[in-house]
Amino acid sequence: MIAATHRVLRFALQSMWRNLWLTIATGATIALTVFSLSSLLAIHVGIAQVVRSVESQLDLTLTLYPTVTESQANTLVVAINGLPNVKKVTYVSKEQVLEEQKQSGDAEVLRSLEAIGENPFGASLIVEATDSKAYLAIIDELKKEQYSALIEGQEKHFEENKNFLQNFSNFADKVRYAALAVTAVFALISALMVFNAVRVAIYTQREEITVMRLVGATSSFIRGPYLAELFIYSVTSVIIGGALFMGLLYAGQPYLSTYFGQENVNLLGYFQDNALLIFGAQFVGLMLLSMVSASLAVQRYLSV
Amino acid sequence: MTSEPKNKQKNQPMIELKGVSKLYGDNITALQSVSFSIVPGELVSVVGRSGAGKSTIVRLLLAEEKVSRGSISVGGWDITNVSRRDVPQLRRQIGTVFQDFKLLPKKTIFENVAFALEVSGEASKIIREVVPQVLQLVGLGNRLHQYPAQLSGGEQQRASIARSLIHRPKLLLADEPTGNLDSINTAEIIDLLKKINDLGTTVVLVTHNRDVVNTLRKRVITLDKGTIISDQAVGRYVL
Repeated sequence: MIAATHRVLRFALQSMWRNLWLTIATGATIALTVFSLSSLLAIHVGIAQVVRSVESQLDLTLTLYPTVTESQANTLVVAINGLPNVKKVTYVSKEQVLEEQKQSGDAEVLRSLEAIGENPFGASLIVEATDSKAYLAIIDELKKEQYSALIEGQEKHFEENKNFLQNFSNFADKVRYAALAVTAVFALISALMVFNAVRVAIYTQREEITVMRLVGATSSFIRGPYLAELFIYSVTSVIIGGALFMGLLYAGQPYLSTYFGQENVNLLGYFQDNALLIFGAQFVGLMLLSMVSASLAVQRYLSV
Repeated sequence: MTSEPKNKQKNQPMIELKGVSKLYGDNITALQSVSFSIVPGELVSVVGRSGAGKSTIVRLLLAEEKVSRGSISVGGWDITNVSRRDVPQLRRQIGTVFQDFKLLPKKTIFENVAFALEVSGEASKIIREVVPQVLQLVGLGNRLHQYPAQLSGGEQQRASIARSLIHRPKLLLADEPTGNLDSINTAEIIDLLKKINDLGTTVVLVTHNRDVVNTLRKRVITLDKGTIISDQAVGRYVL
């Protein structure tokens, strides 16, 4: 068993060395595939991070009637916190609202407030949800009758908010699906590139496979070195393609941070945190794909 | 032969074809009811024009193809319906020499010959000992580490013969071994095949080289249009 493994590895390394240009061409194709797949994933993750960042900046401000007491407002806060997908509810008291209006420096507002002589504002609740779609469900819930005496301008403002959120949610979904579709298409193209590279590599050695068969080599003895070669290709391609990609990401992350903000789009952090999973999955995928391509390609020439 | 297949029959001819026909599709008949047997130690030339069915017989003996009708056995092993699994074992028991040498271009001469032993799991130590000896025997003792492209046609064919002998087969199939060689190399290769036969190996020489057949003065089976038209113990090229 050890001798057979040693023989298979020796044949594989010998063949790679003696077909150096073919080795370089095949290896480069597979490494390029790793780089492309990683780049696609980066675009997919980047878009998701941007969308999530925009979503995180959305909130829903509920203006309460001036007559609503602090106790009633707190009950409402508890009720809203109990709704699904609510991340956070912030209570802004009447006094804080008044102060904010004064701070705004709007002369007309200040004149009006002086004329009224008392605080005309009600308290506010700022609701943050887990994603844009969740706001729609929250609005539907708050439109129920038990809240109508507490929340001001329900009909008009809720409808305006709802329309905006609906549109944004649809847009975000479309962006996500488009990114996923582009990733899937390019992943398929990458898979075909690997499939073809392996087939070409084996095609160039078809006569040798026939000769091996004619001198009594079993199918597994012939396949062994090819599979070993593909293992070596997969490992080195993931290392080279992955290193190139990470290098580029390392260089590009400061620009992304400048443009989108470090906390919004952090691709380098994502890939550093998930490197083992991402590149491990690519290695396993490449191995499986190339094994299938090699088996199919070799099988054609084993029929003698 | 180095191993004993389960269905091997004892005391049989080295090669036996009984009523063998090979059809390709409905219209092409490569062999039509061909029967002959070759006893161990014989040197037999199988001759005929192109398309007579000579190479079809080689392909059937190597189990590259299966007979359409009839039966075929090698060394007492009925290979008429040999399974794909057993084909490598059969081929390891037959030495084969081809017109185009069929050497592996990216392996040295030593590695080409060694490969035939490596496929059967022979120990590396034995391979290192035996391969130079066999290459010495065919006159290539000083070309071990050269690649096929660095050798002349005659030398490549001798390397091919060395590979076919490395298992010490009792049967050597030579399919047009001199087809790509000049007259001097042809004579050398035929001398080599005669020596191999003198050492007890059954040799089947498939050729359409009239001079080779006539100088051998051995048994000649002549094929024409897929049938045997003559089988002479000491024959000449009659076509």
